[in-house]
Amino acid sequence: MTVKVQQIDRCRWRIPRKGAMRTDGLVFASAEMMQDLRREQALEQVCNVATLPGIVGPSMAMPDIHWGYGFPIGGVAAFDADDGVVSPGGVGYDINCGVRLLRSSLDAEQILPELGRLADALFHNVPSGVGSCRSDFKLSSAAEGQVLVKGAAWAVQQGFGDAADLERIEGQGIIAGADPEMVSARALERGRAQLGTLGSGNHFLEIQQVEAVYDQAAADVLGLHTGQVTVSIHTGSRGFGYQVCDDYLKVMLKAARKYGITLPDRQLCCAPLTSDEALSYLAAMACAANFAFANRQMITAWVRETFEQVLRKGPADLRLGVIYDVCHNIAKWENHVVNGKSRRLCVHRKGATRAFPPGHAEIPAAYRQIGQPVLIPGDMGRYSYVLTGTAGAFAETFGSTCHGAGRVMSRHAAKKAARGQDIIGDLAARGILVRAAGRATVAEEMPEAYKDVADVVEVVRWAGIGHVVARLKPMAVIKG
Amino acid sequence: MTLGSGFRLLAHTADMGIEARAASREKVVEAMARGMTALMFGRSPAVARITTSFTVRAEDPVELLVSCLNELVYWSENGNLVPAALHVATISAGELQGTIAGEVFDPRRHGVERQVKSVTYHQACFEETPTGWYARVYVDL
Repeated sequence: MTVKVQQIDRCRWRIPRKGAMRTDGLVFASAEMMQDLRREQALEQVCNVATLPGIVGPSMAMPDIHWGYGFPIGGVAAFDADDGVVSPGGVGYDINCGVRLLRSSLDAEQILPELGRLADALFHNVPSGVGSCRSDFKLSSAAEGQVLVKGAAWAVQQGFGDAADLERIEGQGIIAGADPEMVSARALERGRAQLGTLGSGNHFLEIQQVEAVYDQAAADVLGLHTGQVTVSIHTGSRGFGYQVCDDYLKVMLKAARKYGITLPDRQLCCAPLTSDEALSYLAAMACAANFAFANRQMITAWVRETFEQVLRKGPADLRLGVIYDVCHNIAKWENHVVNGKSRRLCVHRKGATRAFPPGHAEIPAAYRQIGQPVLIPGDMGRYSYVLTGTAGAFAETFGSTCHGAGRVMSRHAAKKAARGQDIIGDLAARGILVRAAGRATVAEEMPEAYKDVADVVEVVRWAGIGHVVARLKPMAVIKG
Repeated sequence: MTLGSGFRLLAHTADMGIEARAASREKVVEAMARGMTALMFGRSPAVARITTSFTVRAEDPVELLVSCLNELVYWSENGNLVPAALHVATISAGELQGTIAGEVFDPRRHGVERQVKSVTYHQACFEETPTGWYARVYVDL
């Protein structure tokens, strides 16, 4: 299907409403990105999302957009509380996949002599590969129920981190309305085995250094300076979330038929937000989101423990504090002004990050003057970024921005391109250590498989839907 | 991208797909299962030491296919097992009964290619054609 696109300005493209679309599409991308997009199916997916009932504003895509399933990756869509829908495909299987960034008191030079040992120890201490888990942690059914309702707070209560961490997590590390009764036995079973694990694919744990600061005042508020060691954790709700999504896709396929919703793609199956099916899904989704918050909190504790062991320094010396933790696969109830009126909307972000502006009440008090921190991981060979949210994003994208680099190469193409290359060796030669459970994953996750995240961030910056604060360079990457 | 055994892995920007053709519904599902196994474990040979029966029910054939393949993913992940074969015993429009056989993952003999989050419904297909049966799914990795 050829999608007709009109250029609005340097970084905005409109897909005019046509056929079954209820609204326009709006894609944030450079001209170069748009050339690549025309060769795959992501634009068609923007159109498909635009057909869903009760959509408010355009069906949007951030500049890390690429072909997903149902929603495009990088997709943002908001739905009216009364006549809109919720779609599990608009959240994804990895509910609350997200990123957490830790700062430290260390500078890169200090840890270079121990970097290999740190990487090895993190690879050992944070379970990542198939079937891996910590022998010192086992989750009971009763405890799991608490995880699903309390989120990151449960982990803190168990001794994983401090209460101060919670203030620096999106929504304080909990989504209200979680109901474990809405979750299947199979999801619970998968969750018990996988809480406290990193996972595989594009999930990672990364030691970084702050390579550049673009807004010193904002960096000061975030506690960042050039040369400083930071740590990023990218993971989500693991098998628990995948099962919740799969369970509710079946429910929503039935619901779509029941409520007479025509689906251009089964993966967009949905139910009216006022329906029992929707309420049940949102309650289960909240459980999965809380699982993911708890997961990242536990991994944070193990990262701290590892740094303490390897560097033989205490927590007061290392000061591995949480800068922020963001979701990038989620549906959230939020208030937004539309045509001058405040409306309660269910905002779906599928590979997109909330980016609330300075002054917003939901931002931690410490950051309210600069806007919500937004964490944008790149690939393992180049860099990641720290941004803050803007009034522009709040006005135009329901307070949303990109979530990462976005892929440009299929896994097969990446693996083929990697043949004969020693990716781990090449990265080591550039000072980036990689510890991975599977070589195939490293090949498929090679830096060239991704857009240059600097290009993605430049579109965000130019369009005013994110403010650039700092760039981080990888020093060591741990992958499942 | 032909790997033989009746299936083919398909390119997708972030994930992968599998398609298969066979003379019967049963055979095409079994070929898709071989594709799933190849996607997860590559060419790791597995022996049928453990066999589990399963039943999946669905509203239509596409949902049945997705449910069956997700059952394979769950069986593998939950038991830390490498599939040797999925056999379809009976299949109707709304129900599939079969067995999955395999063995416990052994890092000395088995390699993990990718962890699968789920089989998706995106462009999923399971239909009779003039030359037999055709199936296709895309998988979230």
